[in-house]
Amino acid sequence: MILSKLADNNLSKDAVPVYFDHCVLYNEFNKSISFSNHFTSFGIISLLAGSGNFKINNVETLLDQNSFVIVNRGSKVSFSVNQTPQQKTKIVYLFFNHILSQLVAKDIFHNLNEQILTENSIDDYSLIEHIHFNNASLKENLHTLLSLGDSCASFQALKADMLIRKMLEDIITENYAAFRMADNLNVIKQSTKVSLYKRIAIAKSWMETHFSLPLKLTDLADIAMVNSQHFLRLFKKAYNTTPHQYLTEIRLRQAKRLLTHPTKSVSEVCYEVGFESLSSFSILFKKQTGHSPKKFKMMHMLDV
Amino acid sequence: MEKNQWSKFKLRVNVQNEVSTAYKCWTSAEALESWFLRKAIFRDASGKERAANETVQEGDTYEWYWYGYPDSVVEKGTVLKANGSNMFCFTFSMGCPVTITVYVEEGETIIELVESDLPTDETTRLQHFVGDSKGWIFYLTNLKSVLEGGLDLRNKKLNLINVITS
Repeated sequence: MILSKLADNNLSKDAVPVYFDHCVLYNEFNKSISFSNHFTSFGIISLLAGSGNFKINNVETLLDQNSFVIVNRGSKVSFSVNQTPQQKTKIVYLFFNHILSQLVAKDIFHNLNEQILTENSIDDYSLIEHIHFNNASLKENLHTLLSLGDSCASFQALKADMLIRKMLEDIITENYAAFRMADNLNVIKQSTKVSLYKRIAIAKSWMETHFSLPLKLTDLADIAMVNSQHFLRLFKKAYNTTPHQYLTEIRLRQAKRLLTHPTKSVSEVCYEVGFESLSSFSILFKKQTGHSPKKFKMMHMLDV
Repeated sequence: MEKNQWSKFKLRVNVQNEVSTAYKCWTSAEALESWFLRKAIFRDASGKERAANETVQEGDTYEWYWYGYPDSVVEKGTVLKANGSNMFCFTFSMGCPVTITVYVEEGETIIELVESDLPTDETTRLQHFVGDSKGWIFYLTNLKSVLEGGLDLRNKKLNLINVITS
């Protein structure tokens, strides 16, 4: 792993970052910056503080510290960050070694014993090249990676390599899942398939972050930029469940986690995860786990 | 240093213990966790997890987790050789072999570690030759301390970072 400084390009208007495989570029900026359109490698762009406008293959994306993007090898990226006096902007670019990513992908697909990806498409991350929201483990991993960059810790480079490989495995697994889901859409034209899949994937990612809000189908369809009935059909085809069922699943998963918290009451958990009625929360919870929320909490307390 | 001298390094530490005791420190999950790792998992050729106190065998695979780091920092590798008495070899950083040999010299038991086949490009030299040898120096020192009844010197606090002890 190499930790390098992302150039401060204000000295030269046409400057673009220089990428090399398997590297982490990082910098903190206390002034406005911009990088013109340039080709990137396969990796992750994330902000640990501040916000900025990114353009990936001419699609605009506003990134902040609660979001990140995955970029495909060969995509065109430009970005600008308007600095506020209150906060620095901290940008992390992580790029994966091309040969390593191919080896890991082949290894994962070999273990899954399925042949959805061909040799040609194994390098194609266009389906997941979009904004992703609030991934706590990614954020933790990036912080660990940066701390290893100038650390005197034992096996520092090896540990950074392990972490990068783990992150790479997660992305490849997600890409593999995306290929399977996109295949379910039964769209022949590749560009349409990619575009539709990305739209519903962004809405799904949004649900995973904003599950506690009173989300409606029309809100999600707006995020996906399709009409609500079309969104519903696409979502069902891709994920084999409805947006409502998926939202309930996320809320129940979160509720299970929060119920293990010793000081949180059942009703607090119910409203915190986005249910509006305690009785419907209890019914759904019991249906899924076989126990009422109260009993589930008590059982956990006894286990502890 | 000549270019080929960057492809391997050798470290030796003397311990006041039997050869068999020093050898066993490397060959079970439980033993490795006593001086080296937070958690070690070994699996046999069929993928079945070995018991913590079970002796590992040639061909086993491993997952190693570290004090001071979350489970996302995991090293995976393979046991290349375990002769049951004085030689243990496994893949490690960048898949390079690490060979442990235990023998007696001047009445003391010597644990010798050789990490070899390291690529000799400048980046690998800076990161893995230097980084790995620094790491092993600490852990071999800790092995000596633990084996001879002294303190376990490892940092076990997740929030304490940038120290040579984890």
